[in-house]
Amino acid sequence: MKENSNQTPPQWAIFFLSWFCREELLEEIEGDLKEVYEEDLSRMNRFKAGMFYSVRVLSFFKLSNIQFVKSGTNLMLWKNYLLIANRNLIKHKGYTIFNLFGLTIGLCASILMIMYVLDELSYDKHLSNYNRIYRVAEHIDMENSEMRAAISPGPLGSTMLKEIPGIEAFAAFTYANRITVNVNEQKFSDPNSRMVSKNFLYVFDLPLVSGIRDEIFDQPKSLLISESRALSFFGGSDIIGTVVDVDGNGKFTITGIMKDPMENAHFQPHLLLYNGNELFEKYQWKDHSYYTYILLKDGVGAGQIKERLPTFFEKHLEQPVKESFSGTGYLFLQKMTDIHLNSDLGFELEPNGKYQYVVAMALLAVFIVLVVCINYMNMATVQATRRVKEVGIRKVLGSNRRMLMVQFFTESALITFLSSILAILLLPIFLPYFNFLADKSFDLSQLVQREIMFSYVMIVLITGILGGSYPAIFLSRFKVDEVMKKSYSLGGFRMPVSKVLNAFQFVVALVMIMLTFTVQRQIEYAKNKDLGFDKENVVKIDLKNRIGAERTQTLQNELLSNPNVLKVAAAMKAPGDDIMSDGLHFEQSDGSFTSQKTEFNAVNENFISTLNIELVAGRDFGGQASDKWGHSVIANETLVKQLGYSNSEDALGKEVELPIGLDKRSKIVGVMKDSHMKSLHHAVSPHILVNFAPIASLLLVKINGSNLQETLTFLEDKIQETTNSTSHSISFLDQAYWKQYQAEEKRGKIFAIFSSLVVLLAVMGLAGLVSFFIRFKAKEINIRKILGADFWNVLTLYIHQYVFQILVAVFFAVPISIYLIKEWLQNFAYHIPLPYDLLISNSFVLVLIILLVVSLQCRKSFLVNPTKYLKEE
Amino acid sequence: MKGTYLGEFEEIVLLSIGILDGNAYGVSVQKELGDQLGRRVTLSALHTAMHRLEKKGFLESWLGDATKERGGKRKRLFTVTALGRDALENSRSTREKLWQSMPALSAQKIQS
Repeated sequence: MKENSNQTPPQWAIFFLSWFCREELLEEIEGDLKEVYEEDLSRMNRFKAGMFYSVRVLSFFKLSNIQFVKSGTNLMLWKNYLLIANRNLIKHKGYTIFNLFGLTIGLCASILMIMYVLDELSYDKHLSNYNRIYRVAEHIDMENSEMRAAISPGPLGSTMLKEIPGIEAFAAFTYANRITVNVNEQKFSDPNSRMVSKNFLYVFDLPLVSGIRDEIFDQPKSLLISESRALSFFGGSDIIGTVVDVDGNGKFTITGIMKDPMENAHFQPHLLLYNGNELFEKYQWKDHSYYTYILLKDGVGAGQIKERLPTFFEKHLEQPVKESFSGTGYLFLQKMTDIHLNSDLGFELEPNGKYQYVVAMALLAVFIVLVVCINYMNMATVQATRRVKEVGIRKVLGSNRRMLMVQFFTESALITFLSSILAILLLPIFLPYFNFLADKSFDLSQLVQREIMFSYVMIVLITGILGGSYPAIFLSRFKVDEVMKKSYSLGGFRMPVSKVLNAFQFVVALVMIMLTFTVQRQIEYAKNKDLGFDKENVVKIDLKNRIGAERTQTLQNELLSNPNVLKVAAAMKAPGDDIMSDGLHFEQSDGSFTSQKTEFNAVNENFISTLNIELVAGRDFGGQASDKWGHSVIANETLVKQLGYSNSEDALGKEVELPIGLDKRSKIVGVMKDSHMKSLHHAVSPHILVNFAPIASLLLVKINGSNLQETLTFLEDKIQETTNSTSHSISFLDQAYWKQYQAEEKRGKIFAIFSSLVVLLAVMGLAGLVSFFIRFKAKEINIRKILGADFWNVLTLYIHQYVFQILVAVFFAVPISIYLIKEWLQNFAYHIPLPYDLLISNSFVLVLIILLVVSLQCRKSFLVNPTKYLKEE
Repeated sequence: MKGTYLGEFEEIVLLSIGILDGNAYGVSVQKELGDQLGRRVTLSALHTAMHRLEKKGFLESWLGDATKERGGKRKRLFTVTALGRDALENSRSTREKLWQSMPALSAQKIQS
C-alpha cells in the first residue's frame, strides 16, 4: 500500500461538504477532491493546498448538489445518536443527575431573572405615545442646599405649549388628594385622586372600559374612575352618568371607567377628576404642587425643547423662585420611560426602582448559569477522557472522532432540553416566593410573552452549545496515542483549565457569601441602632383623614383613660414615613433670611415626650394656650448648624417663614437632638417640627408592654367610637419603621438563596473533579499503598495543588468583595465598617470545606482494594 | 436525431470521455481537457456537466475503485453511450455542412 500522507484537508470543509451535499454524489465528489488535494500537496504547502480545497468545496455548493430532503437513512442516523446519547446518560446516572440538577436550577433562576429584568425595563411602555412623553421637573438652588423635584407650577404646561414650538399637547395634574365620595349615604374614600387637565387622556392614552375618550374630560365636573374602585364604591360598573358628591368640590358626574393601572407604570391613578382647565392656566407660578408632562410632536427631538428652557425659565420662573426660595434654578426634561429606573427626585409619584439593582439581578442570573455551565463542561470533559480511552482501544479514524463529537453535542442537547422543560415545570413552585422577595406579581401566563420566550430559548441554546462544545473541541485536539499512554496529561495543559474554571466558581461563591453576610449584618445594625427616639411599644394609628383639632383632642383624652396607655401624640407623619421637605425661609445667624431645604412635620405638643426625643435647647411645645397653631417650631441640630448658629441656644427665638398662610412669621422655640426620622439610608437632614395639630392625621400611642392584645382592642374601639372611620390602620412604630428596609431584606434573602446554590454547585463540581483525578492516580496511589504509604502521606502529596487553587480563588474574591461591599454600603448614610472579619472567616471556612471535600474523595479511593485498579489496564 | 443538441462545453467533455476510453472520471477528464486543449475547467462545472449528460442519456456511469489517494472513496467512471456517439456525429456533421456552405475559405479550411 502506498504510503498515504497523514495530512487531511481542512476539517471544516469536509464537514461542510458532507453536510450539504447530496448523498448519492458525496462519495465521488469527495474522492475527486481528495485526489486533487493529494496532487496539490506535492507541489505546494499544506496551507495552500487546504485553501484550494476549501475553494473547490465552495464551488460545489450549488443548487443541483444540495441535499434538501433528509432521506430516511439520515433520520435513522439521528435517532441512533439519540438512542446512544440516552443510553450513555442512563449509564452514567450520577453525572446525569448532577448535571440535570445544576442545569435545571440554573435555568429556573434565569427565567425568574429574565422576567424581573424585562419587567423593570418595560415600565410605562404600554402607552402608545410613550416615546414622546416627557416630564418637566425642576431644580432649585438655595444658599446652602438644593432641591430636585418632580413637581412644577400649575401654568407650566399650558404656557410651554403656547411659547415653545414642537409640543403637541401637555397633561398636568395635581398632588395626590384624598377624596371622599358620597354614594347613596355611604362614604368611600381614596387617597389617590387627582385633578387633571383637559388633554390628559390625549397624552396618556390609558385603556378605557367604558366611556368615549374625547368626551370624558369635555365638561367640568367630570370623573374618571378605575374598574376596581368602581366595583368597591358602587358595586357595579354600569355607572356612567351617575352623579356623586365629592367632599369639598361639589357634584361630579362619572364620565368613564378605565382599566386598573398596570403594575409596571410609574403613575398609577385610580380616580381622575376634571374641573375645568383654569387650574392649569391661572397665573400662579409660585404654587409648585402640580405635575406637568408634555407630548412632543412627531419628529421633534427633546433637545429642541431643552434649548428653549433656560429662556423660558428666565421669563416666567426666575422671579417667583427668587421670591419663594431666594435662589435660582432651572427646568429639565425627563423621558417618561427613564423615570422608573433612573429618577430619584423629591415628590416622585411612586417609589422607583434603581438601575443598579436590575443590573445586579441580571448579573446574578448570568453567574448562576455560568457556574452551572462550568460544572457541565468539566464533567463532560471528564467523561470525554474516559470514553476516548474506550474508543482509543480500537483504531480511531477521523470519522470515529467526529462521531464522538456529534455524540457529545447530542447528549448536551438532550440534557439541556430536558432541563429547560424541567425548569419550566418547577417554576410554579418557586414563583410565589420569588414574587414575594422581588415585590412583583408575576404569573405563569406571562411566560408566553415573546421577549421572555426568546430570551429563554437563547439562554438554553447558549448553555447547550457551551456545554457541548467544550468537550467536543477538546476532543478534536488530541492524538490517539496520547490517550493510551498518559491519559491524565491529556490535559497537560487542559486539566488546569478545569481547575481554573472551578476556581472561578469558588470566586463567585465566595463573593456572594460575603455580600450576603454583609447585607445581613448591615440590616441588623440598622435595626438596633439608637435612632434618637423611642420606637418600642409605640403604636402608630393612621387615621388616613384629618379629623380636626377638636376631635383629635377628644380622642387623645379617651385613649389616655386606659392605664396601659402612657402617652398620646398627634402628627402628620411618623418616623419612617415619607417625610416631606421643601425650601423654607429661615433667619440666619447674621440676621438675613435664607431658603433652606428642610424636612417638616406637623405635630402637637405631645410629640416630643411620646417619642422621648431629647431637647438640647429651649422648650417643648405647650398646649394651644401658649403656642398658637403654626407659630412655634422646634428645629434639629443639623438645621441649626446649617443656618450658621454656633450653638443651639443662639437659634432660639429666630424666625422662620412657613408657607401656611399665617399672619406673621413663626419662631423657633426649641432645638432637638438629631434623630433618624428616616431610614439610615439617609443622612440626618435639617428638620423642623411645627406645632400644627389640625393637619395631623395620625396618632402615636405609647403603651406599656403588658396586656398588649387588650390594649390594642381598646384602641380600636375608641377610634371607632370617635371617628367612625373604616379605613384607619394600626401598626407598631418599630415595624412600620423597619419597613423601609424591607426591600433590602428581601434582596438579601434572594442573595442568600442563590449564594448557597452557587456554593453547592461549586463544591459538587470540585468533588467531581477530585474523584476523576483520584481515579487516574489510582494506580499510583495503590502502588504507594502497597509499598507502605498511609493515607496522610498520599493526601499531602496531592493536596497542595488544590490548596493553590483555593488560594487563587480567595486572592481574587477578596478585592472584588471589598469593592462590591463598599459600593453597596454607600447606599446607607450610616453603615457598618468594612467587615474584614467576615472576609477572613468566610475564606477560612471555604478553605476548610475544600480541604474536607478533597480529603474525603481521597479517602474513598484509598480504601478501595488495590487490585481493582491494577487490573484496569 | 432530434433533441440531441450539444453545447460546446458538453461536446468537448463528451469527446474527452471518449478519448479516455473507460478511464474517464472527474479528475482525469479535467486533466485531459487541460492537456489537450489548454482549457481550465473547475471540477464542479465538469461534474455538473457530466451528470447532466448522463441524464440526457449520452453517458453512462458506474462506481469504480477506491484508492488511498481518494481517502477511500470510490470514483465514478463514465463512458459514452450509443446515443452519445450519435449526438457527437450529429454535431460533427452539422458543423461540416456549415463549413462546406461557406464560400471563399472552404477550400483552404478543409485541410485543418
